[in-house]
Parts: sequence; C-alpha cells; structure tokens
Amino acid sequence: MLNIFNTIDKIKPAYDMVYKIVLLLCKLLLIVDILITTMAVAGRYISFIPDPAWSEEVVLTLMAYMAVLSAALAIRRKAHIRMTAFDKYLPKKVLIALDILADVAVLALGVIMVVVGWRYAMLLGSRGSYVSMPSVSRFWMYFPVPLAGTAMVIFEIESIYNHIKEFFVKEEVYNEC
Amino acid sequence: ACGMQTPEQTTTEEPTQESTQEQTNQEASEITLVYAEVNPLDTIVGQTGNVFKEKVEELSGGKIKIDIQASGVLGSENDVLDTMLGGGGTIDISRISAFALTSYGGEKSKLLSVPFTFVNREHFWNFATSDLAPEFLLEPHENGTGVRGLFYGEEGFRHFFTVDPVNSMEDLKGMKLRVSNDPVMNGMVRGIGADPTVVSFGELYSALQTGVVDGAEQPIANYKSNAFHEVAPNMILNGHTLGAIQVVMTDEAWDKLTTEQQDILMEAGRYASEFNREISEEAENKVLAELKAEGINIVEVSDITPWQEAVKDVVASETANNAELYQKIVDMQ
Amino acid sequence: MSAESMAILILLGSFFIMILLRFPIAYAVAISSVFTLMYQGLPLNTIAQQMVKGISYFSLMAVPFFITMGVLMGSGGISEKLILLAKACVGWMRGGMAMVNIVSSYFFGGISGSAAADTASLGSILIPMMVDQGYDDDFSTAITITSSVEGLLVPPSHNMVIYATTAGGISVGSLFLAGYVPAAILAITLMIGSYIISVKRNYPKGEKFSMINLLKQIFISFWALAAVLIVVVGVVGGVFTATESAAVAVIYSLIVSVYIYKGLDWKGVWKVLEACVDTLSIVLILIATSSIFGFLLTRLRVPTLASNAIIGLTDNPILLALLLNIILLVLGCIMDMAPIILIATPILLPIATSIGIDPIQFGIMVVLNCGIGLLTPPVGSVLFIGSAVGKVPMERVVKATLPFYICMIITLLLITFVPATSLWLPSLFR
Ligand code: NA
Ligand code: NA
Repeated sequence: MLNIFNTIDKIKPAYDMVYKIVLLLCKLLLIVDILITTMAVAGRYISFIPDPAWSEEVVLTLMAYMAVLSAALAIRRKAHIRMTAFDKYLPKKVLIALDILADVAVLALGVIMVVVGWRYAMLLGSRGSYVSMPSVSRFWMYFPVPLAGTAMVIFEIESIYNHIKEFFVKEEVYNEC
Repeated sequence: ACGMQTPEQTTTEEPTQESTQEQTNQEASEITLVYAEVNPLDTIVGQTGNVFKEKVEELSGGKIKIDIQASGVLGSENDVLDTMLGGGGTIDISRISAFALTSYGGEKSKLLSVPFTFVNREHFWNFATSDLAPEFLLEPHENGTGVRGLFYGEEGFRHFFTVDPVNSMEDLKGMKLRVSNDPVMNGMVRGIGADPTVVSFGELYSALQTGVVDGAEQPIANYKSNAFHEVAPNMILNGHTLGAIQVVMTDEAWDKLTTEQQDILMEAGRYASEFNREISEEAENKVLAELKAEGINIVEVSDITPWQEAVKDVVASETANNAELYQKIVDMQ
Repeated sequence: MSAESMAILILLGSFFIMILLRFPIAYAVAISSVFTLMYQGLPLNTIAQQMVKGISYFSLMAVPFFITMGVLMGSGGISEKLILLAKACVGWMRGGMAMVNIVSSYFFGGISGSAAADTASLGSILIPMMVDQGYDDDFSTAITITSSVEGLLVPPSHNMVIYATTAGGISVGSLFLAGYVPAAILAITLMIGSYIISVKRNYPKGEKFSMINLLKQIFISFWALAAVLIVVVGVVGGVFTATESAAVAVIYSLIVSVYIYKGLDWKGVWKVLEACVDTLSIVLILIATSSIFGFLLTRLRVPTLASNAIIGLTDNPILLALLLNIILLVLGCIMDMAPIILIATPILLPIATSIGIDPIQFGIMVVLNCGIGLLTPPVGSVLFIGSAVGKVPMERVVKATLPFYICMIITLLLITFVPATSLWLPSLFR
C-alpha cells in the first residue's frame, strides 16, 4: 500500500508549482486592481492621468478572477471556514470520512462549474459585450467560473488523495505497533 | 422552469380532442411568468408592469400569471438580461431601458438613447406606435440574442442635476458629472465640456453630498425617488435623452405559448403601453410641482440648440451605422 | 406541501446538513443551491451568473483593499506606532483597547458606511494590536465585528438610502440624522459589555496616563495617523468615495512602510501580499456563493412568506413590535441586508406604522436588525470577514460574540420602544 502512495507522491512538486503560479496571478490581479482604482481617482484631478470609463468594470472583473482563483488555493491550505465545533467529539476516522465526503461534493461542484460555467460564458460571450467596452466580449466576465471550477478540481483531487492516504497510512502505522 | 407547470401543449397538438378533455388539460396548464423590475412597484415603470400583469391575467382568465419581482431584487438590468439570455426560465420577462440592449448588439435600440433624438414625448410616441417599432422590438430576436421586445414605454426625459446652481450649459463646463459608463453618455458629457466620472449608483448619494461629483443625470421622477434633490438641489431641464423603456421576454418562454396566449401578451402590452403614456407625463408633472414646492431650483432651457451643437459629433458617430433609420426616427416629430 | 415550500426546505435543509457534516460553508451554500435549482428545473448556469454578480459591485471592493491596507500597516511598522499611541491614550483603563475599537468604529462608520469594510479595515489593524497587548483573539474579533454595526447607523449609510427609496417619501437626510443616537447607544452598551468582560478576564491595564508620553507618541506616529487622516479627510472632503479611499490608503501605507518607517522593503511587500491573498481567498468566495443562495431565497419569496406568517398573529402593539424584530432577525440569519430591506420593507412598514412606529424609526430598526444578521451564523458576511481577518474559527467568534448579541438586543429594544432615540435628533432640524 505504502508503495503506491510513494509513487503518487512524486507528483507533489507539480502541485506546488501550480499553487505558486496561481498565487502569483492572484497577487498581480490584486495589485492591478489597486493601481487602476487609484489611477481613476488621480485622473479626476490630474489632467494627464486617464480616468477611463472602463475602470469600474475592469476592476470588478479582475477581482472576480482573484476571488475564485484564491479560493481554490484555500482548498489546498484547508483554510475555508467550516463548522469544527463538534470535531473533538468525533473519532478520527469519522472525521476523515466526512472530509472525503465534503471533498467529493466540492469536486462535483467544481465539475459542474467547469461544464455549466464554460457553456454559459460561451453563450453570453456570443451575445453581449461589456457596457463600457463594446469591443470586449462578455465571455471574460463569466470565464472566472469555469476557471475556478478547473482550479477547484485540481486541488480537490490532491486533497481527496491526501485524505485517503491519511486513512490507510495511519492504519498501517497502527497495525505495526 | 417556473415557466410551465405542464410542458405538454395538448390543446394545440390535438385539436380534435373532446371539449371536456381539453378543458381539463387547459386547467392543468397554468403558466407563471417571472417578470423582473428594477424599480419599486409604485414608480411609473412599476405601475406599468402591474397594469400589464393585471391585463394579462384578466384576458387569460387567470391562466397566465405574471409574477412581478420588483425593486431590483433579481438584480440590475444587466444581471437580469444575462440571466434571461442564459436560458432555462429563471426569469421570463423584464422591463429594461431600451439602451440596455446596446451591449448585446442592439444597434437599433441604441438609436433611441442618442442625445436629443426626440424633441418631445409626442415624438417618441409617434415612433412607439409606428410601423418601425415592431422592427425595433424584434431586433434582439432577429440577432439571435434570444429575447424579444413586447412593447415600449418611457419614464420621461433625463436631465442634469447639480450641487451648485446651473443656469446654462456653460455652467456645466469643467464639472465632474456622474453618468453610466457607456460610450454614448460619456461622449455626450465630454461634448458639453464636462468630465464624465465613474461612481457606482449605490455611492452616488454620498458622492454628491461630499462633493466627489458635482452632478449627475436622471429622469425627474427618479431624481426625487432616490432623494438626490436633498444633496443636489438644482436641476436644469435640458432633456438630453428620453428614458425609453421596453418590456422584453425570452424567446424560450414565448415559444412555449400558444398563438392565442401570445396574442394575449401583445394585447396586454398595447394596453400597458397606452397606460404608460397616460401616467408618465402626469406623474412627472406632479413630481416636478412637488420639487418646486420644496424649493428645488428648476431651470428651464429655452434654447436647446447649443446643447445639440455640443453633442453633434457623438450623435454622428453613434448613428453612423444606421444613419438612414435614425433619420426616419428624427423625421417622426 | 407546495413546490415552493419543498424548494425552500431543500435549500435550507441540505445547507444545514452539509454544515453539520463539516462542509466548507462557501461550497455548502453553492451545493444546496444546485440541489434546489435541480428540483425546480431551473438551469444550473444561475450559479455562474450569481457568483459573478455576487462579487461584482463596486462598494464591495473596499473589503479587499482595506484588508490589504491592514496587512501592510501591520508588517510595515505603522500599526506598531499606532499601538504605542493607543497605549498612551487608553492604556491606563482596563479594557482600553476594546473602547478604542468601539469608538473607532463609530468614526470610521461615518466614512465607509459598510460594516464589512469597517471590519476589514479596523479589524486587520486592531485585532492584531489587541492580541499583542494580551486580549484574547476571539474577544478582539467579537468586539470588532459587533462595533462595526455602528457603521450602518452612522451616516453615510448605503443601506439607509436603500430603505428610504424602498419605503418611499422618506428623506434620506432625516434618516441619516436619526442614526447618530442609536449608534451611540449601541457604542455605549458595547462599552459597558466589554468593560465587564475585561474586568472579569483581567485584561491589561498599563501604566498611569501621562500627557508627555501621549504627545511624544502622537509625534512619533505622525505618518501612521496621517494614513487615517487621508481616508477621513479625503472622503469627508469629497476627494474620493469610501471605496476609492481604500485603494488610495493601500498606496499610502505602502509608501510609508517602505520609505518612512522602513519596516518593509519591496521584497517584503511582495511577501506580505501573500498574506492578503490568503485572507481574501476565504472571504470573497463566501460572498460570491452566498449570492446564489440569496438569489434563490429571494426568488422563492422567503421574506414575503416569513412576513406574511406574522400578519394577523396578534393585535397587541408590543407583541407586534417584538414580532417585527424577530422576523427581521430570523431573515438576517440566512440573508444579506439589501434583499431583506428591499423585500420586507413594503410588507412590514404598514404593520409598523399601524402600531404607531414612525417610518424613520422603523428604518433604524430594520438596519440594526439586518446589521445583527451580518454577525450571525450560518450566513453572515461580517462574521466571515472577522473570522478570516482575526484568524479565529467561526464558532469561537460566535461564542465570544454572545454577550455582545445581548448588548445589541438591548439597543434594539430601546430603539423599538423609545421612539425618541431615533426621532429626537431629526426633529431638531425640521
Ligand atoms: Na456609516
Ligand atoms: Na446572518
């Protein structure tokens, strides 16, 4: 059993890399959002700085990307808010089983977001544009959803794997004792 | 969907069926259409929607129900349109400003919101009751956007209002004016020599109060209902655009209806449109009188020519694609 | 059971079950919405639409910006200077920092108008400061989120504008004036509450008050204070809106941290951004997915159903007034403020006026009730933000907030049964 886990564990560096890249993207999106908002304020008073009509829509879209991508990162960090009040009354195995159940459900949600979100983004993209930027398709407004779904699926697979491993590895350790 | 409770349209498919049988089927196929309205029910547009609802329910003998969800609880105009365009019957009908369709390829609809197109209400209603109107209403359907217009209405001309008194277009020069973020309105504000400023509608009251912006623009009724007159008590009646509204329905919901039911919606639409025409001016005059009584500084514009002059370029560029059609509307006065 | 009631049962039932099964709340709301959509035969793309809509309103941007500002100030030496200043000011008093927190919220509420922005900004500065001085983290978070509700009552308040527009014929100006005293009452009850707890838990009391030390600290923390001043003066003076002020404050604290206090270099700033993303990753997705949930509750007319349920239950004005509060509090547990105000106001306001409650007074009641709802599980945006910023698990925050819920209820009862609390100040200006 341990051997299988050891083999699969070799993929971990790839996961670390994906995490780093997504984190980098999130940081950049946050920075750009702050800069655009500040620029729009400055542009109101200083004539050579632009105060474009698109600032609001762009800031909101970038924040949507930031929100969903960072949320996928939080899956890996196990940082999402959940009710842990009764944890101390539950056996370890039940907890792992519940974690797996939740992870599978979120994985399914991720898949739904990929499929439905992609279709929706494509449909709206073919039918509309941003109000302030007639040349930019509405696809980009809804693309964060399938993108988030993809990131969720990626990190959920890892999380489920880790739980299964926890389940078995602990077991074997216990047996050896 | 909330659309139909029984999707089978037995009445049309099997016309030979016995009448008693048919009756049972009809009773079963009660339809509820969800209607989204951004404003509260007591506004001009809200009342128009309500009249439409009552007429539809009356004409259909209660078989078609309209479920109006007012006050924007289902989202802004764009949110609602996005939901409708996504399909599936979450929202079947909504009242939108004609301009909202512009970002969904509504090239014709856009013409209605070009500055100074309509010289007065009469002019707009000439258009709304002309042969051209159905063509405009069906534009999104023809474009494959998936919605169709049922009828037109209006919520009065839009005017600028400001924190400091304004007596002419000259006084607006250099002011920071909040308009929606679309190219037409931004072009117009630049045209009259002011600075278009992006402030979200939710922050507008405070932005006027603190002075982040010097003014904004709304139809008279909305100016009062949003209490903007408390913080920007000066309005100049330049009437740059007429707040043309339309009620749109998804093709999906429309196609599920029998021809008879479709006719009911169209007839109720005509009725609601006529109602809107009657109350719109009346309601606006009442609000205007109230504003004056409250001491709001209302400035009439005697000569609109300099305003029209100032926005000539925007008008030309925004109507370039449909110049002929635009001329037709202009000629309807 | 009608199809609608069944749908509501599925939505709320599956949500509560998933929460008990330890699902992340952000995803539990989305999954229960999926079940409900499927039951109703509605398209799943509602999820995509509502998630994007949920994050896409500009006023919300104050939250990520203020959280970033707070983290930068914390790592860049600004907070440190403010801590010393606060110690010099109120260190002599037991529970002094809790008082600072409560009073800051009153003034900051006059700028942001959003309890979420208030918690994001003050919370990310004050909670670490309080913990640093020996306060419990759950207590610090609890007092931060509770006092942030003052911001909804102190003008400007976006939600009061929504109420005034929905109720119709109410002056936003009068409603704004009506908020000052109730917010002050809330602040005072919270101060009393936190003082009692501080004494009980023996929270720190520093050295005696010294004017010289205070002046010295004011001088040292000049640039830190200027950060606060920029936001206040900028918003009140009409240079930028509250949301924009948050972005400007980030740039300012960045410059002060790197070039003046030199607590950070650019490499450090890059690292600090990771902490910002970590906090935002928890908060924003909750706001996005809660929006789907709220949309379904709205579309299923839950506020209408709940409100209709109380109509005709009793004629007793006192009981009716209590019922109005209860209905708003219950709705507040599962829904966001704006939809409750929009849907419940037209139904409840006539009941309120029929038992002699002034529409302005009722507006204050609605705002405070919904404000309390922001702090209650299972769906409470300010509670979530507080938990993320304070890095304290939600249920611990809730537990620590219990005494403050009582403070808020006392305030609520005063506003409900003593009309002068809200009506006196506007009456002076008539
Ligand atoms: Na406020
Ligand atoms: Na709540």
